[in-house]
Amino acid sequence: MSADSKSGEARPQPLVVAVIGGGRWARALAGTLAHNQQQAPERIARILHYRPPRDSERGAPADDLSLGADGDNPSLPATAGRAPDLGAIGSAPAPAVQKARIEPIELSELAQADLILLASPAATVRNLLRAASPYLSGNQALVHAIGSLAPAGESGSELLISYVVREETPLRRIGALAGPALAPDLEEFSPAALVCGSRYDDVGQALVDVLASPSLRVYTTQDLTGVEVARAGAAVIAMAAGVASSLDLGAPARAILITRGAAEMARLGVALGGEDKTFFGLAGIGELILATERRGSADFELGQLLGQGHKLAEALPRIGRVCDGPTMVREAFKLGQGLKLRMPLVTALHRWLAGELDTKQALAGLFGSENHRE
Amino acid sequence: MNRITSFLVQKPSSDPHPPKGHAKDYPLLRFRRERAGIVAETAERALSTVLRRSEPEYVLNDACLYEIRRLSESAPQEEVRQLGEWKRLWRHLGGRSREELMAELSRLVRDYAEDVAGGFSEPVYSLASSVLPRALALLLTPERLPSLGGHLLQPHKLDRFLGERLTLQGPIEQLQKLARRAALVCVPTHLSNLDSPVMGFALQAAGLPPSTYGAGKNLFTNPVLGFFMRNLGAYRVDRRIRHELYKDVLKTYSQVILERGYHSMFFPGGTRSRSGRVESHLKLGLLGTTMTATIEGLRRAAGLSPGPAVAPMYIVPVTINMQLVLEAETLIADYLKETGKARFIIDDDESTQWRRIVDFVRSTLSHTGAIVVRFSRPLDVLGNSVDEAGRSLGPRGQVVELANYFRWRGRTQHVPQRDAEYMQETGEAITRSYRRDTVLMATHLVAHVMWRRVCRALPKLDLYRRLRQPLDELLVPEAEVLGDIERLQALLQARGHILGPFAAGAPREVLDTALAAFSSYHSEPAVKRSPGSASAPSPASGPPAIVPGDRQLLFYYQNRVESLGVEL
Repeated sequence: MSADSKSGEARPQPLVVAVIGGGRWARALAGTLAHNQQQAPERIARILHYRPPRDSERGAPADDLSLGADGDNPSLPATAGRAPDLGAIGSAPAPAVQKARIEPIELSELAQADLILLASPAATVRNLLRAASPYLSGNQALVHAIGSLAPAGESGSELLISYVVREETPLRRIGALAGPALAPDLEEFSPAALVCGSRYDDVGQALVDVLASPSLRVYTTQDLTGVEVARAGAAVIAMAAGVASSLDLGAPARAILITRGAAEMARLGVALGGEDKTFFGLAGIGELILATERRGSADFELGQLLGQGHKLAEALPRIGRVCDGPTMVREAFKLGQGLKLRMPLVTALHRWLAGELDTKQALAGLFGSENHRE
Repeated sequence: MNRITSFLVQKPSSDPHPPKGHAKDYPLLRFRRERAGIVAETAERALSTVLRRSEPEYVLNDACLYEIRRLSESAPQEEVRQLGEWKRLWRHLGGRSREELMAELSRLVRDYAEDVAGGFSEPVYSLASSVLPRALALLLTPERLPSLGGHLLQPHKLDRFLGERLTLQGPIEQLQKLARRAALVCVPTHLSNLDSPVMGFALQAAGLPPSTYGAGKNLFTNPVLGFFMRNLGAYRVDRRIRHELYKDVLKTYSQVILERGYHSMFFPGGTRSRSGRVESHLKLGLLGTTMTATIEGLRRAAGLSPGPAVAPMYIVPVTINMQLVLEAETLIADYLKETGKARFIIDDDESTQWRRIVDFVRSTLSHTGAIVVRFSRPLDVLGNSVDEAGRSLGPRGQVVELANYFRWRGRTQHVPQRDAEYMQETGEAITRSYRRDTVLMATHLVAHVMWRRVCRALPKLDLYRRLRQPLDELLVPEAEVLGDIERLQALLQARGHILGPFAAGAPREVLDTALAAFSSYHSEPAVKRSPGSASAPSPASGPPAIVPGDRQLLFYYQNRVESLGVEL
């Protein structure tokens, strides 16, 4: 037996993990890694952090809410330097016990990473990946945590982020992250859960190794497409729930949006090759319950402002964070039309945002569409 | 390399001639010498694979149960073990020691490896590649050739005649270069049992080395065909045997010969396309051995695994495009049977009837450009394109290191789940190549045009009713057919599809070629001229009109077009 196969019996080599992104979600992920590295250094060898220049994050068109508009953008993740008491899940973090080792890197240094967590705005992801491509190779895995579709590429079609990764880089082992976890949950070590969708079991297992902790459960599925569509769809439903909230439509309205929204996104996901059960799990319903409920979801807040009568152009700067909802509404509408899918919720939102419907008409579209078998 | 090559290759590259002296380097020439070692290595490694998964008693039990059931339900043919032997083995499994079971299992694995392994004879190869095609041409189409004596004096005329029947396309020069230092794995589309000999001839004509390939064991029962296959590198795949032990032996054999640098060929569609459609779903089991062999090579290169160096491997999708298909009538009839009743193995079709083979070959030899074999750009085992030097290219054309894809967390090894996913992507790359490089023939175009007429004449009916509903009155004026052909040509060309010899010509030429081809072989052509019309208008007959003939055949030939996502 060779030395290599002998080593196959031993624990796998610790991973060098790189996080790409300058937003709060990227920093929260890096913070979680830093915390886990302190707890289990045998799982994470190094943590690298590449923060794209702000210009590239702001490179999206003015009406595209995927642009990075972080109000605060410290170079280190929010949780860096803190090591909370894991016995007190959900309570305030404990004082710092050790400085986390997060290494800021240049783009070319991505070559050192085994696993890359990508959390940058969808609008800039293609250019970012194209620039990073020379430094990437087939032995790396990339998991993105982007809650939107990518803008149309050269092929002219709207694409899942994983398609863009395949088009722009030599990477094959690709995953997507979704689930009921917002950046504040990770920062505060509140109980949260994520699901990693990847056709490659290695990738899911790597995510479990580096991100799972007593306060953060990490599940895996092979349904990459389903996870990507479910996560992107959550932005749409969160925005609709924000509108409903601003109009005080009550809890039933939210429940309807969650369940019918999940069904609508499932239709889209299945048409694109996903599995419908994914939309009724953590990535679907799980994320929707969270995104339509409370603080933290930028799209929910955007929906509230829009429901109060603010124009999109006014509302966006007030949110100050990346909002994927409007982009996703536009792309989902186009996809649904192309695939001949019944998507009343997306259609109503799209027409409302385009000014073709007033709020009353849009609500009729959201809640008053035709009755039929569920 | 004989003169045929110079006429066969429709020059995609500047010089189709391979370098002189290259022929003696063909790996298959050393097969006879290495055969015993290959069988022994296959048996040893397959046994080790099997034992990693299960205990010998369970493996033997599984094999016994499958074989007893199979042999009880169908008549045995040439078998490694007869029914009685399997029953005896099964009855005594429980009382045997582990050593006895191991010995029994070793014997069985060895017998299977011996059964699978092919052979190669240089004299038979020479006979099959140069003498036979000429002899066939002379025997079957004497009326089209001047006297035998004249051709013996001027064989190049005969070669030219043969070469005009088979057109080769693709990056042949690049493949010739790669073949000198790598194993080529050709993966052709599959329509007919004649595909193997056609590919054998095409490889030889293109100056590419002969390859070993898996062929259904049922094909070996024909004494003539079996003789050539046994001596031209074919190995036997018994698709009736379904237990894992046999599959392990088969895959191990394929991996071993790939590791030893033998050029190989697989039909990844698994079986002949029953519908005539271009394959979109592939069986990747045997093809997956290109990946395991590559990984083994990487491990050996890194000193992680013992053994000699393994040459790189390149997958070459190939489309075999025929004006007519020998077994079209049987295949489409089988396809149209109720789902689940279609036969995976058909052993009584036209390819078993000498009369039909002779008719078919006569028909093929009568028509210029009747077969186009188009080689696609080579791929690495992950489905990446490769450059002229064989380096893998990423999606943006950047050079990528293949070995990296098999390394993860410090290890280079075969990871079944990951590699199965990789293979899926390779399969998708192959089907993309098929779609891109399918060459549409005149028969396909005319069949599609007429099939669309049938669909419009019988709207809102399902396929089966469209095939059976009486349709005597569907006479399509020839001028309209020509117009449809022109529109279809434009549509196909706009989408980048390739039109074969005559299919790209004037609509009149397309129609005449297709009608002549259909009537030259099929007893009831798929498309024909209306009996009451003339090809040119005259006072004595009606205006020229075209009518559908055998609608199953019409559907079969038009499927080639429809499977590319094109509909007139």
